[in-house]
Amino acid sequence: MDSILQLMHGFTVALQPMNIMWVTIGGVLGTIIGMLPGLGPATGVAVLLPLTFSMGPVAALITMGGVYYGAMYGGSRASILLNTPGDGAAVAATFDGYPMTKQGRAEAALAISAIASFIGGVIATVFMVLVSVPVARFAIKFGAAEYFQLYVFALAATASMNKGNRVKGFIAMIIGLMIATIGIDAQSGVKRFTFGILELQSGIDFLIVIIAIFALGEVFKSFKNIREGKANIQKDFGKIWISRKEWKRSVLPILRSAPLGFFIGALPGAGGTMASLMSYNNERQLSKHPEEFGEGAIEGLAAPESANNAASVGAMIPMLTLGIPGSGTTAVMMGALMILGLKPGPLLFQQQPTIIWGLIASMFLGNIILAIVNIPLAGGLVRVLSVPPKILYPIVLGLSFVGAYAISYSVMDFYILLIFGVLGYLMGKAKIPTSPLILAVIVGNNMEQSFRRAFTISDGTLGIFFSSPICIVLFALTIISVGYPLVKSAILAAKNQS
Amino acid sequence: MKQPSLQMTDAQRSSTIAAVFCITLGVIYCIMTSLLPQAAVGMPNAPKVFPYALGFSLTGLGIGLLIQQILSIRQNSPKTEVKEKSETVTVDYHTKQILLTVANGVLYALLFKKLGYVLSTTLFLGLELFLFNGKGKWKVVLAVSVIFSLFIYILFNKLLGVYLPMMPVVGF
Repeated sequence: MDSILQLMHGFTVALQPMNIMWVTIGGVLGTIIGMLPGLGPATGVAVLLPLTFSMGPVAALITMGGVYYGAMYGGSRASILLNTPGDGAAVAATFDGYPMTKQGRAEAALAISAIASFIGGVIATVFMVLVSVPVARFAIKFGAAEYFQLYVFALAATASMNKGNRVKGFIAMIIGLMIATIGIDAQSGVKRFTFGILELQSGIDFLIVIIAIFALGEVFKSFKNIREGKANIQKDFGKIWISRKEWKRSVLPILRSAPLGFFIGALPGAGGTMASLMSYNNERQLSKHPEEFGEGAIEGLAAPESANNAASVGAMIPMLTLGIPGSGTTAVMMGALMILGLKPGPLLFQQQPTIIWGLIASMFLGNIILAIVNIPLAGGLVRVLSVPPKILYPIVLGLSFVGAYAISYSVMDFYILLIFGVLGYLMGKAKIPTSPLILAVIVGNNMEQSFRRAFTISDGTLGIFFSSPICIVLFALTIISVGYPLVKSAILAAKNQS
Repeated sequence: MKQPSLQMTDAQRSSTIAAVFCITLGVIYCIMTSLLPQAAVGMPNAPKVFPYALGFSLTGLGIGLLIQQILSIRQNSPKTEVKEKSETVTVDYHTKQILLTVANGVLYALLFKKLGYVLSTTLFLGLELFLFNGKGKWKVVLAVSVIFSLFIYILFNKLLGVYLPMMPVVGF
């Protein structure tokens, strides 16, 4: 009951006219950025972050929520109309969305994508209302040892999620942790790896690393495969809506995919890409006409869109309750919270209920507003896609630099931005995943400090890391997340041989 | 990393380079850790434990990746096609664009405070747009870079309260 009362209060916050305006502006800007190939919601939120610096915490979070959802809608637009997904999570939308466009059913595709995203988002937000407070209450029991085990688990799960080469996932993780050790050590005051540079004493802000890897890295990549001239894109649409028959085919997949997306989104490291791909495969297996999948089956678009949006809500749970972001975008939002002077974690729910519930209420609102904006205005918004990327990418670069400056007011960050932009590009070239690095940069410092605190509490024995049931469960989860893929591939290899 | 006797695919080459890089970085990081001062309070070596663990892990992972790559290069059938020549040309052009962007960024950082936001950004964005578009579209390049710089400056300084450096003398 308490949660529902709090949520009602959240709605009175979110429904203030200024906040409605911010969520709409954020949504439209996010949609535009999200439509650019290669630039997904994380980049969108990171690049537009400075817009929120002068706002109060509630308005800032609400605006970022708008950008987040807007970028996801925008990503779907580009997937459906152009076959160019903005990020991994939008890839599944191309499987059936683009064939639908080629068959002249772009209107239905755009409509179902907005409807499915809306329903998926709303269902997941309901789950969030139910789940977040119990999780936060549980997390209050965590001591230093538990937190250390939790960080290890989150990192190990993210690193071993890498599909190609798992060693590379762990390499990315270690490099990220190394970046986090730069700066003055909080416990002893020793300057570590600062190379005598004053600006490095406070460490490298992870937002700079994120902007560098997501935005600069993508711009660098774009030099190779940038589209020549204008994209041939449909701009005039008939009525953007779906038929009763199409709705009947989609409704169950949408409802099934939302909870799936939510739970996958809440797991560290999994995120929207996995949620949307899993729901797509699920629906193909459950479908009566699996042969239509990939040829423009409307449920093949509805399911991943619902799962993707639900995952984006699920990813907020570990970020808000534990301080561990579940996705790139929530990582940026966590950085923004910290700039606003808030510390994500279980206490946030007790200390800042207005902010948390205002954010949750604005998720409902953001979903409604974006569905309203995106259905009738689809024709106008996609015109952005006809601006050549050769103009848009330099602008993204310009926004990245002004964003970096606004975070710290220091030109030193321009150099850091360039260094990590190149690193992000090279990592992409060597097929080293960037998400373990980003998570490691974010949690690295806390991870080390909690390790040392636990060590001090226990007078230097390692037993403390296995002293509570929570520790043991988390340790077991770490072992499983690292060991399971190894066992699975070993079994597969054995099968292939026999 | 030239090993003429072994044929490597592009992916193997970049992974091998990555492995060597990791080993080097791991070793350098360990050496730098050993040079860190001791803590004045608490356990003297406390600030070094975690970095040592990281340095050793990265070196180990780098060696692991290197062994992996050597094994996979050995398994390579000699028939594997390696399109060396055509690829080098495009990669070189690509690398050149990236290096020029980085150089442009360094120039931007050097001029940012001296020239103020509007001028330095017009220059930076103009050069970057030129890099993407070539000489032909100078009108578009000029228009986009001037409008973007002014728009962002006014948006940030007047509306958002995020103060960007002003131009000297003119005060804008």
